[in-house]
Amino acid sequence: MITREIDINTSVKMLAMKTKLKNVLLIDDDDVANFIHEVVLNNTQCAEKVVTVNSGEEGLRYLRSNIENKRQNPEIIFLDINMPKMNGWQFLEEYKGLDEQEKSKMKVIMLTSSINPTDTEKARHYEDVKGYNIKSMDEETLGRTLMAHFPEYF
Amino acid sequence: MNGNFDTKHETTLDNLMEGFQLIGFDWHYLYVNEAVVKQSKYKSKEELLGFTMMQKFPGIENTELFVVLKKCMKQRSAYNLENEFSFPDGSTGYFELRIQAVPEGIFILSVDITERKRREKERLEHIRKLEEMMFITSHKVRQPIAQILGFSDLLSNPTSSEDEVKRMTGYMKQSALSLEKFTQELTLFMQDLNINVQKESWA
Repeated sequence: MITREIDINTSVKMLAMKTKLKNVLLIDDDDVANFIHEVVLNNTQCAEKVVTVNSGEEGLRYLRSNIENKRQNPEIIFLDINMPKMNGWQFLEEYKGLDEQEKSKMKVIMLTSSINPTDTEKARHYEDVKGYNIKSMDEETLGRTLMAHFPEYF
Repeated sequence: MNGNFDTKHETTLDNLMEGFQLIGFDWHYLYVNEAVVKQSKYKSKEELLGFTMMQKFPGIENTELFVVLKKCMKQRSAYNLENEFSFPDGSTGYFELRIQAVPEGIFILSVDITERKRREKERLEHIRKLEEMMFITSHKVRQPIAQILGFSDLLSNPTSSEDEVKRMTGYMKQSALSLEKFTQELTLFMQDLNINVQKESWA
């Protein structure tokens, strides 16, 4: 189910974070983008673990399994839009139904190459979506996103 | 209308491209020119004159157009509007209408804009397809460009291992190849589009 799971064990705090995120989830069918974002996350040392899945469906399975087994869910989910099987929008529709308390601990950030205004507008209508980043996300954008949504970690 | 004066005017009115009709207070056709006959899909003036609008176009009394006609008839005010008209045979046509109160009832000047509307619809459809293509292009072009930019950013980071650098250059090549493939697809799309536009302009 999980395409890749990387444990990042280092004390370097590239983003000057007091506390690292426990878990970051990347949902994207584009392996190249996933590679870039994994390297960026790794370089910034912002998370203890990065989980990568290739579809919305796999992402949901991962989240539900964590809830069922009382495992740590990701604090932040980077979600692509254009994916086969279940795309980003379909993922969000299903995500709505997850346990509210669990959802309150997670932030969904769209991470897409789409600059289509219809997509940015649509994303705004989802209460669960907290941000919209354009691919490829570099260290600076990642830093800004984390500071905006997890100021207490800095 | 009678006498030489009226006959002369009638000939002039019959030569107009615009439809010209006079409707009495009881909704009877008092006068129609040849353009109105053509627009109405009836064959002669006699098929309309002396009949009411409701007799010749059953259901017209329930249309938005009729609401405007009634207002004009009652309030003696003028209206300009574009209207999609449904004919008794089920077909539709678009008309630009100028409706004016006259001593006999109301006068309607009508221009058939069905062809113009059809072209407008086609043009909008053409624009929609181009916009769709633009967004697909945007995605297909942006994706490899974003990847190349991402890699150039990562490659400037001295912490990348030799293995990572190898993978990155491999991926960059893939991104460049997908851009090259897309430019070929785009060329074909533009060729098809030009052929279709030429076909439409010949039709």
